[in-house]
Amino acid sequence: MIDFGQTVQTLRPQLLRYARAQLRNDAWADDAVSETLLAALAKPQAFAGQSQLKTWLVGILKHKLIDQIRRNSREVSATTPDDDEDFDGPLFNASGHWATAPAEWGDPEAACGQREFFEVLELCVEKLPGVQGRVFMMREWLEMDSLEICKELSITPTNLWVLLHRARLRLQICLQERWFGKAAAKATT
Amino acid sequence: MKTLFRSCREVAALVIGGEDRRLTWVERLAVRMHMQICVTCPRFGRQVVLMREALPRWRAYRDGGE
Repeated sequence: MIDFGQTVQTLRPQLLRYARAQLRNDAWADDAVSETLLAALAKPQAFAGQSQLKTWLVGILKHKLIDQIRRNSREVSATTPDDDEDFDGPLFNASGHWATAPAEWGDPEAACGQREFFEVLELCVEKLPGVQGRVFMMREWLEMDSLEICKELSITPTNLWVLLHRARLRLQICLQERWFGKAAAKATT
Repeated sequence: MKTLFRSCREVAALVIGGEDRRLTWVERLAVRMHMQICVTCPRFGRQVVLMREALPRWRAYRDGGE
């Protein structure tokens, strides 16, 4: 049992990083992780038969994060703009043509087959600015329903689409800079 | 007729917007028409598809990868 407790503890920093990335609030993140660890330590038998401790703990954490989001929904304002209306402006010239043409990313398997790719993608997701980052992770990581996200954040579906749109575009730009751009540079040298 | 002819900027916004909402038929048609005459936007479209395929795998990596 002591071993189990210690092993659970070693995963705490990672759980905390995930919780902070989702909630963008250190106190709430601390709470969610504490609740996760308490739940795990109270029911070690629930882990029996599961192959990976991390998978099990992250599964519990995701539920606790959704609980936190529901609990704090009134305090979370999703209306703070992260960037201006013209967020995609720099990508295009005045006539609406691409200022710099998007690159050919090639075969998805070539990228997705690599662990490093997901590390870079993860970094890009966690770097998304506050509201966009929270909303994007609610949708794509916690897999919350769009209507529920709107309800918890008191925003309209249109607001949600705009936030997700900005997050997705920002992710593509980040991946271009940190992954595909570098891979292309490597291939030509 | 103007609504069927969109700039790259507008088409890119529709393509990425299509990830989260259902486009209207006019929007879908405008995207398809633009994609036939533009060499650059289809590349952007393929980036969006790659992202769509990568995200569930990122989720699995995040949740289970050691």
